[in-house]
Amino acid sequence: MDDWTLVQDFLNNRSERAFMRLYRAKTPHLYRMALRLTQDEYQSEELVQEMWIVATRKLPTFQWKSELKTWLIGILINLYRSMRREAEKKIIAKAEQLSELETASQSWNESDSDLEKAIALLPPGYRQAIILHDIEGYKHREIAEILDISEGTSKSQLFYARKAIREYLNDGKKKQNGNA
Amino acid sequence: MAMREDKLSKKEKKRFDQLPREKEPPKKMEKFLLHRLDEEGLLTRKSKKQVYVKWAISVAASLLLFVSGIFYERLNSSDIVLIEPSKGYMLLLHEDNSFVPAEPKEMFYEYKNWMESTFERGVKITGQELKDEAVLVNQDGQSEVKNHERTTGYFILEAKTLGEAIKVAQENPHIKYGGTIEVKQYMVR
Repeated sequence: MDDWTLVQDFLNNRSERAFMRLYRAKTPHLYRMALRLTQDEYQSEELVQEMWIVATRKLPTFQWKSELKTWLIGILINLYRSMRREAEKKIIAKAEQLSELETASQSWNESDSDLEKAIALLPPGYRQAIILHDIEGYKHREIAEILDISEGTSKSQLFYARKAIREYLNDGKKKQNGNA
Repeated sequence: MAMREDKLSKKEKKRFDQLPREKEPPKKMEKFLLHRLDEEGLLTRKSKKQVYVKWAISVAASLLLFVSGIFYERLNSSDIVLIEPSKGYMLLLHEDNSFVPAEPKEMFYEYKNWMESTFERGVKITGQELKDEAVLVNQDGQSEVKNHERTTGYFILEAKTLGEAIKVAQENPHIKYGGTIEVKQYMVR
């Protein structure tokens, strides 16, 4: 069933069954992305649930100017950024806890992949850029729209993200060679 | 890795391409989300559905017990379904994420019709829906079952042959909705 049919089916009757079809078709991809963004299972679950709440409210006004997936990713990332802003506000009062929380928030990593680890260590802005560009395959123009930033900022964040990842991977290689 | 600051090398691109794109979310998330959507009025006919629809098997099982009482009474003047062990079979109902339930009313009547037609051809049967939560107990203690596939109900029935039990299972609406049914024969020593 294509995206349009899934959405129309849901909007026609708003039944649980129609929603579940839509949910099951789209959520595995969004959940994976949420895990990469937050590096935390609990936050990812919260994020994806919140995304669906917002999406089901806004679906009747969705104009299909982008793919459904892109639209959902946009909601997901904006919620993630709001979540971070809220967390940062709370943290300002307890600045000394920041590093602890950052460490805790990087608890999810089911993969042994060095690349996944390197992505996990990136600052959030860089992480968003590299996930959207190098993993999801979006263009800078699309990323700029999703993140509400300029194309220049997107390019710059991608540049520094790749640089940081290469440094991380090269350091890993050097260590391996040193141990050999 | 070959380094090009403005572009990924082929090798680098391949590594990104190999990263997994999907991950199945935990089943509990589905339930929480449906509950929230229901609370916020974003789905039609909710609270009733939660009780009536989602657990159609439970309703159907209750009905089954009721129906079985009537049918058995006709046959044996009793309201209990007794299964002859040498003819006993268990149907274990499994689901994974491909299971998509229908509208509650539709499911209810399908299960009801399935039970009635099963009885009408002389197959004694009873059953029960099971909760999703399960615990594995072993020598090391216990742990929560996190299998992708869930066992969501069972029926026990009396059939002349394994083939007859399989036929009953094949006709169960659970199959149509994407579930699977495991047919097991009683072991009699």
